[in-house]
Amino acid sequence: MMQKRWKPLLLVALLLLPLLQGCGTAEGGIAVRELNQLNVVMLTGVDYDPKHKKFIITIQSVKPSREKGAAVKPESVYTARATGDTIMEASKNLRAQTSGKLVWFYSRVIIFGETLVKQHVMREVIDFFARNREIRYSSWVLISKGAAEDIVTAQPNSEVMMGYELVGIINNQGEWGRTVVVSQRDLINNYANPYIGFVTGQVKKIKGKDKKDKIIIEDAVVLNSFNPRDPIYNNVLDKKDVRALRMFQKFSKQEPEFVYSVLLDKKSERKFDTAVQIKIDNRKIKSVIENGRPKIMIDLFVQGTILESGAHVDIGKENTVIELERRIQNKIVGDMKKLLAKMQKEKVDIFEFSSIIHRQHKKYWREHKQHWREIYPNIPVHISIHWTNLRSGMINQAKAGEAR
Amino acid sequence: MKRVIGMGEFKKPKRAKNLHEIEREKGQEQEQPDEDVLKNRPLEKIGIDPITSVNVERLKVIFKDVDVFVPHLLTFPNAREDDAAQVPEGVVLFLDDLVNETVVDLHIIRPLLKMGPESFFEHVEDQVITAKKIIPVDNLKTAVEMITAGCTVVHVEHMTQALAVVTPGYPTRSVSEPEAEPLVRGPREGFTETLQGNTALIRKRLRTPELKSEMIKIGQRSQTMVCFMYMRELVTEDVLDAVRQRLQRVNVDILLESAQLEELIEDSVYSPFPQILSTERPDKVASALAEGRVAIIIDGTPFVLIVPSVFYDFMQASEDFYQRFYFSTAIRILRMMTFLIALLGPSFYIAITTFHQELIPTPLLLTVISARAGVPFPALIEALIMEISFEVLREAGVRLPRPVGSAVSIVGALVVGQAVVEAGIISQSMVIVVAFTGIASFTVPSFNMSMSTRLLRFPMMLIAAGFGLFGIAIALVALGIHMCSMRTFGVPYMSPIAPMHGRTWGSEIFVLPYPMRKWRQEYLQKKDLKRSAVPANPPQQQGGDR
Repeated sequence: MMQKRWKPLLLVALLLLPLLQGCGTAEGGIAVRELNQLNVVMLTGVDYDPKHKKFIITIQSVKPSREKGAAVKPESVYTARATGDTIMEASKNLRAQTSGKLVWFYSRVIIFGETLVKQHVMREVIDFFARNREIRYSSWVLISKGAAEDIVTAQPNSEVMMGYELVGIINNQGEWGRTVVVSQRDLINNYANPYIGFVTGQVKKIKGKDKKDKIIIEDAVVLNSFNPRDPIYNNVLDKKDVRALRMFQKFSKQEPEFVYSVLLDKKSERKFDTAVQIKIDNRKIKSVIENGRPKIMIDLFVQGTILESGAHVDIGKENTVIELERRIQNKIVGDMKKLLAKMQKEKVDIFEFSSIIHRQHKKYWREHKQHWREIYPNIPVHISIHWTNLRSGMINQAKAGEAR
Repeated sequence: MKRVIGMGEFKKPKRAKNLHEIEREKGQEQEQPDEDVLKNRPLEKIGIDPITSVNVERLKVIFKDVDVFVPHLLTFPNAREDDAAQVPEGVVLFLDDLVNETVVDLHIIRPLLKMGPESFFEHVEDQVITAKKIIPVDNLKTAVEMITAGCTVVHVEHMTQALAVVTPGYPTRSVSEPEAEPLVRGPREGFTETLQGNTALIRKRLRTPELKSEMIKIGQRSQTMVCFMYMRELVTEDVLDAVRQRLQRVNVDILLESAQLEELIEDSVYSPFPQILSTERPDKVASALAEGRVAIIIDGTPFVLIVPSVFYDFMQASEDFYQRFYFSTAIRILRMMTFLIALLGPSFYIAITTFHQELIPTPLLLTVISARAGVPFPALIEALIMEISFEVLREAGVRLPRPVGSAVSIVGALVVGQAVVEAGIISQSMVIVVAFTGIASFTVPSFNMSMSTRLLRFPMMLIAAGFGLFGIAIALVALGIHMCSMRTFGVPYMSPIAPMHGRTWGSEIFVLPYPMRKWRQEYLQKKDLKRSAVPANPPQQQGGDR
């Protein structure tokens, strides 16, 4: 008897289901959002106005219209700006200006303004982005030189909207190794660790030759979270520094390929005559405690390809190859040591030595972690490079003009 | 000297009693008018009267107003000369539209009229009538049944039994290619509407006395002959008993199609899934019999039922076994996917576009949004409109006469495919989803399985619109529980997946090359698991080429 009674009930429940639409809320629960009501935020910029103590949020969103061909047209992209005492208030104030429902799922890039970083309000900003369930942890975080608003509202170089443009540039830069961009997830994790500093890409507006504004991502900004009360904005790493930094650590799934140019033929009149593309196969970082002091040993396993050589030497010869390897090696180690010295002077551990020591020498770390600021600047680092392969490219040339 | 006539067992009719006795018996019964006799006593209790005219009168009452009923009275000119007063009479009874006139004329009436005085009484069946099959009839009920089944009933005076000669002559369709299950490679014969022809098509593929068949009559009024066939050595006794019992229990007025019988004997009538496979292909039935299944053949329909059938049987086409195994396996996997698409396509679309937009890749989302811009309905209503119009078009295409049907599909494609989108009532993406889902549902080889997926799609859509992907997940779990708990003729419906019978997967779920398909269906077999016909190791070729 009981068995039979639930079946009609189930039927009634099924029939009532369509009425359930619209149940649920935007914060938690199930919310119905029809696609054509969506206003998709593609790019977010956050600034801080220290004079009025207000946050400024600038978004670039897209509301695709019903047209044939491309889904996104310049007319369907627009930017909005709102201010508020807190970021949440500012973002809610945005709704006064938009017709659709703003969704942040697709905001792949978040730009923090320079003022924001310098004015010690990063804590609140990071908290907002970590707490909000619509923000993707995989979105990229960039620091702008100047106001983030200027970047968001700028005219993109090649794409329809700035959001696409920045994602494209970040993807290219990740391979090329001229900058480092952290994701939202890494930003939150790094920020929570009081012993390390970290870097992220800097986005800036420059004037091109044709007097037009261009947006580029170049160099990297060092953020220091040694102590949350300390200034977090430290300084900027240039291209060379970033290249050295990427030797220390793996930032992206794919290791970037660097080009090193050296002078191989001493008689040459040129500054450099041989270009080699270097890629890191593997790296081993070990820490040892010697006489109560930590020491870091870095072993890099690299492979290279000679891409260009104007040198009048026989690259096929073993001695030449060894010489070439030695020169590149010196250059890499020199760059790395330079960056290390700079960072040790600034007392910013962007190489994550603290976590290496923490992992490999737990006891030492427990006893000494409160003195890390004093220990870090004096840590000796030993770098050695091992060549796994050095290819000579497609041709096997002895001397220019003398093909064998 | 005894001769076996025809195929049926034959019992010699009793020699007539002498005329005195007959007179006496007649005297007892004669007072009762025929109609009263027929009213008061059940037909099976009324025997065949030795006097032909009595039988004829009684049958005339029974077949009153049946204008095709022909009682053809015969008098025998060469009857014994010494007893001229008693010219013996005989009668040939049949329904004019059901019998083959030539057979009746050449093999019954002419020999009877020619028969000599010596062979008069005792040799009617084995020396006079030259038809193939003769069945003795000893009561009125059987006589009536025989006449309605297309037999010719012969009675000659003084016999206490009548003879039913099988002379069917009703129109039948010839064997042709089954239209519902076409294939590229494989036999092109299909079943027809005659039971005898259908069993013959099966028997000619399995030439062994092991192939047994049992007949049963179902339907109070239709008296439909139902035959079930099985392989003695391969069938499980439980399944056979279940089939026999369920068929015997069936009590209906008329039985016209196998679908009626299907509903009467299946385990879960309320389940949305079909549990008995029906096919028009004799090769499919033969292979099912060789796996130890039982085939139920119903007179009057070309669709033969195969029991027990599990879920995966509905995903098989007989062509899978006639093509290269790589191709067949790929097609089987594709069919599983299209089954899921047919079931879940629109509901996934609804769930993702209304609740889980973050799951769509950015460029696709923007495209879908631009397609949906300006559409006045929520996704669910949009999907319902499209699905219902799709079903309307499909149904109209099936029901209309063929030349008109194509016109409907052209109009439908124009209206549904283009005008609706251009008017901005339905988004293009929804048209794509519905059209693809519709086509996907047609790849399910069994028509009734594809119907049930099409029907289940609607509750799925409602659930998706109410609860999103969580709802779909819960509905799928519920469906899974239902399917796993179902049994058909004692066999779990989801075998060989649940319970697991890995050895059977080679032919049931995928198609392995023939030498590797050594095992019969484990859920059907207990004893003879290994296919004896397949050698364990294919014979190696000896020596080199010459």
